[in-house]
Amino acid sequence: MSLKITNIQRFSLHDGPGIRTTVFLKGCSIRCPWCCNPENISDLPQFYFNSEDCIHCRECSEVCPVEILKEPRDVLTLAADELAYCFKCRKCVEGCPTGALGIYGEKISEEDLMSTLEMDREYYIQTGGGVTFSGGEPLLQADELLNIFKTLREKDIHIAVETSLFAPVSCLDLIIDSVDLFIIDVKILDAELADSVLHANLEEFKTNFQMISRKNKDMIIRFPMIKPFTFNRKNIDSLMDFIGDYNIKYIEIFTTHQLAAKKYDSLGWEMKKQECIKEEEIKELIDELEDISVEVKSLNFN
Amino acid sequence: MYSIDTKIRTIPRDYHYTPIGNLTVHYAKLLNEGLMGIEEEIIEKLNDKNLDNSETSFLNCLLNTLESITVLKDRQLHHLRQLQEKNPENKGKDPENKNIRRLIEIFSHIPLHPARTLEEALQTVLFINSLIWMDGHSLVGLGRLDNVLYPFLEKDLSTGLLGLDEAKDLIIGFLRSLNKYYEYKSNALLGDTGQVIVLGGKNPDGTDSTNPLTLIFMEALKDLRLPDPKIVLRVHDNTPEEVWDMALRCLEAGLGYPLFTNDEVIINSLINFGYREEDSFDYATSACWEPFIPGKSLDQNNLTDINFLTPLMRLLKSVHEEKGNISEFKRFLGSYKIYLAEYIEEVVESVDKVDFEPAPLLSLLVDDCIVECKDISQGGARYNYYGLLSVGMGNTINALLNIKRMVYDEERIDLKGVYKVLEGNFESDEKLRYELSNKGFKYGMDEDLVMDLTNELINSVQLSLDNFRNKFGFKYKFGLSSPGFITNSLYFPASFDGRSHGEPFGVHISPVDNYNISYTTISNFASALNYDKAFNGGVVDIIAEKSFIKSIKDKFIDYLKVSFKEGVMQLQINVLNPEILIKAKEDPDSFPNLIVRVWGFSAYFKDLPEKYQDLIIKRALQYESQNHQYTTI
Repeated sequence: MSLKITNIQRFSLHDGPGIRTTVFLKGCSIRCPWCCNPENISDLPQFYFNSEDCIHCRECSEVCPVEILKEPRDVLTLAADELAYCFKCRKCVEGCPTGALGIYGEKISEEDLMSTLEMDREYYIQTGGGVTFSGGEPLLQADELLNIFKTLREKDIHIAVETSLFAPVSCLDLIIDSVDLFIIDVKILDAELADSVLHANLEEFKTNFQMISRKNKDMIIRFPMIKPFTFNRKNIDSLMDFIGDYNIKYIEIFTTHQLAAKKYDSLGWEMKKQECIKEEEIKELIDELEDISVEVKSLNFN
Repeated sequence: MYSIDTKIRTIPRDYHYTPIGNLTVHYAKLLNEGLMGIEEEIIEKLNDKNLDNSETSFLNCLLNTLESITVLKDRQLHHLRQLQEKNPENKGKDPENKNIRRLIEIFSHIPLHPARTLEEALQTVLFINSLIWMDGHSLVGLGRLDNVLYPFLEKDLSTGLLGLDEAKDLIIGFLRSLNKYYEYKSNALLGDTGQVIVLGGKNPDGTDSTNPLTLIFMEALKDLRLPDPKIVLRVHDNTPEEVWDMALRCLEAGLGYPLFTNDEVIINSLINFGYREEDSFDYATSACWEPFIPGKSLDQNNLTDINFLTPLMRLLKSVHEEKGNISEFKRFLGSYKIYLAEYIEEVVESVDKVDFEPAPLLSLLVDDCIVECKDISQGGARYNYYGLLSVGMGNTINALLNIKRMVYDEERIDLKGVYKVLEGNFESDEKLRYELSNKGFKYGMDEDLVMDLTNELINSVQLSLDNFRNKFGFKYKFGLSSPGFITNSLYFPASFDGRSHGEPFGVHISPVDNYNISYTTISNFASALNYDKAFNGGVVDIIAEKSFIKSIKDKFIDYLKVSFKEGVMQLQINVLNPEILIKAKEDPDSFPNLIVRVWGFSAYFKDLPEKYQDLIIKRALQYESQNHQYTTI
């Protein structure tokens, strides 16, 4: 059994209680226009190129066995092009001395993953922390996660899953009993818009959400404030109605940032600029949520 | 009142001698016995029939010194009385005159008699401290002032003489006084004064020794926003929450201190090394971070640096010249250790040549000079160990790991090739330089390969140092951090970790460069190191952004607690915003009060040489990009 991941981030402080390690799983079921981890959307390995790190040594061109790399950036288009000669031998990546060229995504064995996760065990135990699985959409790899969760539980390590819940209910069903905490991203609560903006099936979300609630699992809600998609009157009203029905620990709200722009660029994509949300508007939302007795944590970055 | 005649230092001295520095005298004894108590002790000793001539003349010299101090004190009193008489009709009404009257009262009593109040105690410390500076000593430490001064505050509180607010005002005045003569007191760089106040700590019975003054000192410095004096905070399993909280507030304010030092590791190391148990529990630090028993030691803890890269360069050079080769990495490492041992012998020989300048003032105030009838420069103190520091350890570990991988595992280059590349400063092979600094396991990672190799070098140095005793018959210890990471690197050739000629060495126990090494990773790494004899300073130096610390303060405190529980010896945190640093470098006038942590001290960013500014900016940017790269939100 192995997992498709892009990164393991130790000393994570924002993804649940205590000091944690966050595992970023590769592959997502939906397409949020504001995604801050674009390298986790596709479940396939992807070449990247960070132009800032390139020293123009031409090593990548020189080692390419089919001689198609004129510029390092070409790897982004050629590797994706089925008709190109690139057979993904990775020689360019191995030869790059600075790490400007690389690959997002690797398969990691359960054993290797566990050995990394256990390195900060003392920090988890003594700070009430643990491991958080994020992504991408972790539920898509439920089969593979099941074994790892079992091992983590045996070692008394707290497990959190950050999910949008857009996945077949069978996936959730598989792992739900092993998870200590669900961090649930609530985005768009209108079925049509969820479909057209996120390419998501809202029914899946609702069914999964009810299952978690029925099982009395700890839940934290995350709500990204994005104009016009999530941060509009109608959606906020829906949010109020929706979470009012459930028993959640608290809700985290945040605006998105441009920190991911470099990652978009490294994939040859462009990050869409988000409309700015004013302090007062955030304050208003906090007040509204507090009015229905929901604890709010504002995670604003800047 | 605090004044230093800054011209005295310019009086020519005998340059054969090295003035003793990096030291803290026995303030507790001075405050509790007064100079007269010390005088009695000397006279009693003089009555001992068995003294030889030199012992008698040493004790008489101490009496002369006491007399000179008294003369100086009287001169000060005389001056104060003159000031008072200038304005006789206002006596008692004018606040300045009131102040003068109080100083006259205080100096009529101290430093000859024991201090009776907190104010007298503070004034005694200031007076003696100013004499030590004028006597030509540098990096003059202050010791565990919260513990030393608390009995006086306690008494004042119980008699109703002072409330805590008034005590804080006195401490603020005291700190302001010490901050004067900032430039005069600075050693290698502006701000490098060695004025360290050690707070907190563990008692021999395991209880915590903090008291209201612990918090008052920290809070006062936080409010004053002064880079100097600065705090070293002794932490242990029972350090109270409010002390952690105040420490983080100091860091948040951008002071660069306190530096945290772990009693659970250090006290054991001190006892095992040979310090008495009761003294080990009373440790403070020499100028920066080197554990030091105040008032009982000559211990010169910052004599010179071990540069781990020097023997590596020598080994590579000799392989190159002798046209030999070494077939396995294990044997290469063995050869390196032989070169390291030879090099350490040279270092030890060079420092053992040092002769210290006789220092009767210090001898008066350091145990057991009077009992032993011996000047501190001749080994009269209870402890006379020598301490070495080290640089380039991270660079050397990374170079060795690269040699293992590229020369032995992958066989892509031979040892002669390695030497040639370094000699040419990577000029013909920039690609290689990048690869060396970017690929493979690195110093600071909690991988067994890296930690084992690091401990192997530490043990190797310890074994070598075990062979030597200094001229007082005392052992050598060494530490894993040093102020010299830039000065030692300036003319040092390129190294196989990917460092170019003249580039700075790694900073203390921190990743040499940015390899996405998380805070927990570096703490696990530092916890795994063997500090048995390598306890002469071992600082993990990290950089954090203000917003980061602010938003998750509780978790950050938890992180520190677990790290120390796991065995990190010392840790300091620069709380910085790289964008502000960059602006401040371009436009220093707009950021006159921006403080940064440099090595074991804090200083104004504008005062730093460019190399230091650039290194801090570079490291701050690395930490920023590391912390922002992956986030779930």
